[in-house]
This record gives sequence, C-alpha cells and structure tokens, in this order.
Amino acid sequence: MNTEIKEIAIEEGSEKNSLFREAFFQLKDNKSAIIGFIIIVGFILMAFLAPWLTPFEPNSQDISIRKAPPFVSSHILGTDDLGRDLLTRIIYGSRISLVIGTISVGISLTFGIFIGLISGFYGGWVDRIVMRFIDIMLAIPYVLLTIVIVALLGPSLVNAMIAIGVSQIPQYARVVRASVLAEKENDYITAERSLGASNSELMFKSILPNSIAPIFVQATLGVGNAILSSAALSFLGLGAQPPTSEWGLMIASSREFVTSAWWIVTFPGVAVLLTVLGFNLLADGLRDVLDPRMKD
Amino acid sequence: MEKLLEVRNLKTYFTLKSDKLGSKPEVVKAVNDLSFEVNKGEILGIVGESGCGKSTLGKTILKLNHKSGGEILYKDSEIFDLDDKDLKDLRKKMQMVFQDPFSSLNPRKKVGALLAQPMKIHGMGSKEEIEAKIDKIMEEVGINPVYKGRFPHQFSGGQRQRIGIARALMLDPEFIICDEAVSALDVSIQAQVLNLLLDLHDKYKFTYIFIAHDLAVVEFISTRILVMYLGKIVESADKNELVKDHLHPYTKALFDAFPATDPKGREKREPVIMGDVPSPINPPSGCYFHPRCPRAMDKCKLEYPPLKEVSPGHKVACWLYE
Amino acid sequence: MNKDILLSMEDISVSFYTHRGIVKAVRNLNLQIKKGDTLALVGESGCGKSVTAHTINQLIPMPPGKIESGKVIFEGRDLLELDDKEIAALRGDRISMIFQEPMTSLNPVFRIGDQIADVFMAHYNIKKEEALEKTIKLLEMVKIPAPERRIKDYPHQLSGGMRQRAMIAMALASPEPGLLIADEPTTALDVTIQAQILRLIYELKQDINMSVLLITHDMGVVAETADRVIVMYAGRKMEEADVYSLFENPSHPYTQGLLNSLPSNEKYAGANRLEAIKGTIPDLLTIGNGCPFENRCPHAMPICRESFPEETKLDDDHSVWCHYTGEKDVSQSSKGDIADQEKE
Repeated sequence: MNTEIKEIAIEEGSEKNSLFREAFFQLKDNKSAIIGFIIIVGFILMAFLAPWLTPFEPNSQDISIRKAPPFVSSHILGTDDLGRDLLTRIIYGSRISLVIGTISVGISLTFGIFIGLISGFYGGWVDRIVMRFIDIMLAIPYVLLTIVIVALLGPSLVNAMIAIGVSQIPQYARVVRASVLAEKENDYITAERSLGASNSELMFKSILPNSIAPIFVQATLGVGNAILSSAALSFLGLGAQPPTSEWGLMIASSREFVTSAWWIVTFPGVAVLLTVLGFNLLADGLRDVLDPRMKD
Repeated sequence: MEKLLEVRNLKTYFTLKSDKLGSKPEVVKAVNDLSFEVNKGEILGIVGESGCGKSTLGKTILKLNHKSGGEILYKDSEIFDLDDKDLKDLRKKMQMVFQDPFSSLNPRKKVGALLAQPMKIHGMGSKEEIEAKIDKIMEEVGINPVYKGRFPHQFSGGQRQRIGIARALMLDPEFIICDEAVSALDVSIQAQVLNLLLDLHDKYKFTYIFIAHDLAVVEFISTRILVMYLGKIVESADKNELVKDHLHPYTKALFDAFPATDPKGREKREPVIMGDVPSPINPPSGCYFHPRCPRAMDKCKLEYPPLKEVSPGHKVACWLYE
Repeated sequence: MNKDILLSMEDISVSFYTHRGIVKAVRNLNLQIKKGDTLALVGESGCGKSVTAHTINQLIPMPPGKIESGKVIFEGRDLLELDDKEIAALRGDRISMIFQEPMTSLNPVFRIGDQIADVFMAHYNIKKEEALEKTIKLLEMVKIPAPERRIKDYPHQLSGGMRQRAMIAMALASPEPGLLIADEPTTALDVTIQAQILRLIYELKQDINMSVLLITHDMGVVAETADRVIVMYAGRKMEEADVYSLFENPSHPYTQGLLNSLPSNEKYAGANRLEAIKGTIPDLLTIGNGCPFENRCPHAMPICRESFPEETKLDDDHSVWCHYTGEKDVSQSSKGDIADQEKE
C-alpha cells in the first residue's frame, strides 16, 4: 500500500517561468526584434522628450527663412514653406503618431477581442452572423472603408483614428476567434467546465489569456499600419488638418515642393518609414518567438 | 451493493454538417442505446477501440455532452433534469481525469491556482483552508507542495497527470471517470499512476469508471469490464470472469490481438482478425461486428442481438449465445 | 550464425543546441543490424531511439541538432559523409522509413497509386503503366483488399491501418529493399489493427528477408517481432540481447523495471499493485556522466553517479551496461566454473 507517496518532484533548476518570461528570453536573442525595439523606444522617447529636444516651436512661422535647406543652419533639417523648423515638426509629429497608433489599435483590440471571443466561444448562429458581417467588412478595400468612415464622421484627426481603428476590427476578431476555436477544444476547458465553471468564467479567465498571444503580432503590426494609414488619410485631406504637424499631412502639403525643396517632403517620409519599419521588425521577432514555442 | 450510477438506453448522436445542399446530414451514433449500472466502490473498466464511443460516453455521463435519448441516473436523479444549482452541486461529486497531460491543465495558471479553482468556483472554504487542502492533496498524489508556484509546462507528463488527479480530488468526489488517464504516459510512469489510482481507491473508497483502449491496463485495474464496439456494449462481466471466458468474438479478438508478453508466444499466435474498425457513421447492418466476425451466421447480418445475461453477472450481445 | 552486417553505427553521439542549453540526446551508441534481422530499439520518451533512427538517414535538422561523433556504415559507406544528393538517392531506395503518423508522411494531394508508382519510376526505368502494375502487386503483398481500386484513393480515404500498409508498400517499392526503419509504426493504431500490421511485418520479414530497425516503446511489440533488442535510456544503451534471452533473463535494473511495469506481465495475475520504478526520467539538459538511471535504480551504488558502466558480456548474445550487474556477474563467473560442472 505504501507506494512512493512522497515522490521526488521536479529537479532543481527550473525557475518560476511563466510562458511570457520564457518568450521574453527568446526575444532577447532575436535580431529583428532588438532592432525594432530600439527604433520604437527611440520613437517613444522622442515623443515624450519633445520640448527638451528642440528649442523651436512646431507651429511658429517665420516667412523670412522659409524653405531653408538642411544641414546648413541651426535648423538641422531645414524649414518648410512657412518657415517652421522641420525637425521640430517631425519630433512633435511623433507624439501624434504615437497617439494615433495607440488609439486606433486600442479600438481595434477592444472590439476585436470581444467580438472574436464571443463568436468563437458560442459558435452557432452567433458565430455565423458575426462572421458574415466580418466577411463583408473585409471585402471592402481597406482604404476605401476608412475613407468612407471618415467622410461620414467628418475630416479630423480624431475621426481618422476612429476610422482606422474600426476598419481593423475584423482582422483582430478573426485572429482571436481562430485562437478561441482551438483553445476551446482543449481538455483543460472541459475540466474547468466539469468543475462547475460558468461560461463567462471560462471565456474571460481561461480562454482569453490563452488566445491572445497571436494578437501581439497583429497589434504590433497594427501600430505601424495605423501610422501609415493616418499618413495616407492626411495626404488625402481627410485626417489631420493644418497646422497639425502630422507626418502624413506634412508630406501632403509639400507635394508641390518635391523638386524645389525636397527636404520638406522627404524627411517626414523617412520618419514614417523608420517608425513603421521598427514596428514591423518587432512584430517579426514576436512572430518567430511565439510560433516555435507553440510547437514545443 | 449501493447503486451509484444507472445508465438506461443512453444515446448520444452527433449530426455532421452536410457539405452539399439538400442532402441529408450524416449522423454519428457515438453512443447507441447503452444500458449499465455502476455500484459504489466498483472500478468499471470500459474498453474498446477508436470509434466505439467510450470517450463520448464518459463525457455524456458528466453532462459535458448533450444526450440524444435515454437516461442517466446518479443516485436516482436524472442528471439532465437537474437545474443549474443542483447540477453545480452534483459536479462536486463527479469528476474526471483526462488523457492528455499537456492540454488538460491551463498553461497560464500556476499549479496552486489550478488546484484552488474548484473550491473557488463553489465558494467553499477560506483562503487558508483552501491552501491547506491543496497542500494535503498534492502530498497525496506525490507532488511536493513546495512547487505550487510553478506552471504546468515545468512538470513532466506523469507529474501533470498527478496534478490532474489532484484537481479531481479537491472537491471530495465520490465518482471519478478516468478517460484514458494513463494512455499518454510512458510505461514506467503509467505503472506509478495506476498504483496511485488504486491507493486512492482503497483509501477513499472512490468509485471509478476507467476508460481505456489498452486491454492490459483495463484488465489490471478493473473489478468489472464492459467491452464496447461502435457505440454498443458487446460484453460485460466481472474481470476474472471475462479474462477466463471471453464469449463475444470481438472480445476474443481484442484479447488475441494483444501483443505477446513473451517472444516464445510468437509461434502459437491465433490468426489475426482482418478488416478495419468500421466508421460509426455508417455501421454495418445487423450485428455491427459481422463483417469481421469469424463465426458470423446469416442471422447476424440481419438483426442486432440483444444484450443478454448468459451467466450471473456476465452479459453478451451475440447470436451465438441465444 | 554469421549473417552479414547491413548497418553499423559506431560511437554515435547526437546533441541538440537549444536556447536553454545542450540536450545530449544520444551518447556513444553502438549498434549493428544483420541482414534479415529485426533489431528493436526500445525505450521510453527521451531515450533517444527516434533520434538514433533519424540520424541514419541524415534526417536530423542541423541546426539545432549536431552529430558530435560517430559513423554510420551502410554497405561499406559512411552515410554521415554523404552529401545531400547521395543520401537522397539512398532514401526510399536502400533505406526506407515508415512513421507513426502515416497521414503526415503521405502526400495528401496525390493518389496512393501514383505515390507508390513514383517510387518505382524513380528506381527503375519504366513507364507509368508498368509502375502501376507493380504497385498493385505490392498492395496485394501488404494485404490491402481490392488493390486495383485502392490505387485511385487519396490518403484521407484510407483508414489508419490501410495507410500504414500503404507506407510499408512504398517502403518496399525499391528493387532490393535494404533496410526498413519503422518508427513507432503501430503506436497510433488500434490494437486489432496493430496486430495485423505486426503480423504483416513479420511475414514480410520471412518472405523477402527484409532487415528492420524497429523503434518502439512497447515491449509487447518487441516480443512479437524482434530478433535482437537494444534497451535505451536517456540516450544510452543499457542492455542488448537476443530477444529470447532478454525476456528470459532481463539483467539491467531498468529492463527489469520496464518489464515489471507492464500490467500484462504474468506475475500480476490476481495482483493488486504493479512494481513501478520510482522517480522520473532525468532532464537531458543537465544530465551528468554517470549512469542516467541512477536516481531511480534500486541497486544504485556510489560509483553509478560517477561513471557510466563498461560493457558486461553475460553471453555471446547478451550484454549489459551496469555497475551492479557487472559486479554480480564477476563474482558469479568465478563460481561459475564449479556451478557449470555441477549442472552436468
């Protein structure tokens, strides 16, 4: 009767690592993730420290020095057609981009996760209706969709953010739903159900934490995408309005100066490029880390 | 003997979504008119190959599946008629241990939280009481309570299975369904876990239903055995009786198919039953086993034989024994 | 009984370099398969049996895997020295492999008949029609009913047992099957189907003198089909013997423990508990140089923690790597002469 009841448990050496921490360790070794992370940190620092990084104001015009070329004066990147310091506008523009990214993705995440969770968990006709709706939204070209929403709400930066957020909801919902469908089948959910857990307990406390990993990749890409989309909308006059120093708007309003004052168009463009690149690289790294770990 | 569970004419059918418009959806008769009883303190082994419905049976008994017909009575109350509150109470008494040690524990929860969950769901006990119980039960299953703060992936398969058993014990159940509880474990670990289950059975007088496809394991641990084929019971008897006397040709095939335990047994092997395990979507006519049965008669193709008691405690569904 | 040696693995060590450390999957393994023999590599998870099998065919992904040392001599050549083209030519021809999950090793978008016929056409210089005829004959040989119709089926239309037979057929399609590596071929199958497949492998062995390297965790499967057995644990060889000798006289404490863990063991008729091996398999990341079974062994001695035992030859056909058995054997063999005389 006295079998090895006091059995030896696990060997020493395995630390209290949750899956998150293990992922973090793997992430440290991933080159793209590191580079992406550095760029993003730079971008965030720039946004927060804006007033201390530049002596100029983003909106102070000085027609006398308009279209000053870069690398010659104290206006390191030159000035635009209204004499505003370009570098300052770019730095302050990072704040706006940060806000855009956060809010748009925030909207998409909140609604997307909720819809995906409910749809995947309950299945049946709820799922079918939601999926058809998502399919319809996805069938409309993304840019067109955002334009329509902004047009309905009125052109402004806030409305642009809402539009971008809303039009991305289907992607997030789909990703979450796929995860939920897979997790739902796992024995531990059946076990918790057999213990008497209610549906909402199962959905929010058990399935959700286990389904959101793929969302990290999506969300990271989403921030980059939001910045890009906002730039596009501003370019079309539907997003930020002058004199906001939003990068897309800066590019849009300087179209005519491409040949005469190339820096006014180029440097904001580079800012967009680098920022989006940073987020994409981090997303790549995240994807690498999350994928093989699942196979372990 | 006190009767704990009674299953009468249980049917669980699944309708497959039809791909083509207008065609009749196919029905999988996973559990197809099953009747049996489980007495207190018994270890009822249910054995069968894939598609026989044993796992579905286990889940239906715990109302983790719908049922398409028949009755499941636990201490004389029909489980499917209970209201939410009574059902939740019943859940304390009937628990399940799952097959896959990797997916049966929530990967995001520390073991301590996992084990605390049952009592929290039922609002039982203060924080201290819960912790004390967790410690006690972890020791019972052979895991040092010091490791409460670890996550499932930091344990081996056998240890995770022990944690799964611990979880089932938290609410002081009476009745535990082990659904292929040792099938995914290495042989040496399997032996440990089987011993553990038996120890717990002796100590707490649990009643088990032990579902498995491995006949040797079922034979070892059970007091009584049910053999299933395509959703129906083909034979049931006390363990010793069944081992001595396998009446149904399928039972015989199962015993014969079992690999030898000694190479010397190689030469005197019985001929192997040919044919595949049929799909539960389209079972054969009459007795489901007749296409593979070496002793099939004409009657077997036409009519399904009833489950009849041919000697005390020994039932078989086969026209050979009419 | 001096059959030719078909495959010889010498001092093979394989490790995996992961971000958590180096996993020493196989250490200093020596293995020989004679023509027509079935050698079973048996052990539980983490013992390295699958890694060993995959090393033969250069199927170990490198990185993260690395073959730290050793040679694999097949028909006079060291397979580990061959380049991609040369090893690809061997695979499916002289060395074929069947896996646990036949669904994932058969291409789901091609018909069975076509896939097998492709193997024929790759090795002989024949046209499709002739290859299909050979395929049908082959399917008959593996006892697939109505083979002329089956060749038009896709893998998903066949049952697990049928797919496994189709895999075996594909493995045999080459002109002179050299070595069949069967990696847990019946683990995913129902027991009645497993019995059929094992019977088939056994019969094929008799009929065409096929050499088989069988990887399994199931001692029952070993008892049914093997000629020789190697028991592996945590990357090392623990015991090697002729199959009859192994079951009659299991000498390594792990082998004994393994056989004792089987509920089907005759000693348990009417018994109430199994004699289980205590403890768990060690972590291959942190494993030392002693005997890996030390923490679970009822006969462990201090030397077991320090060094891995040398080979103790109990017989021509039976060797064991164990300090405890080694000592026992030495003390017994000194009495042995007298004992032998007494037996006469």
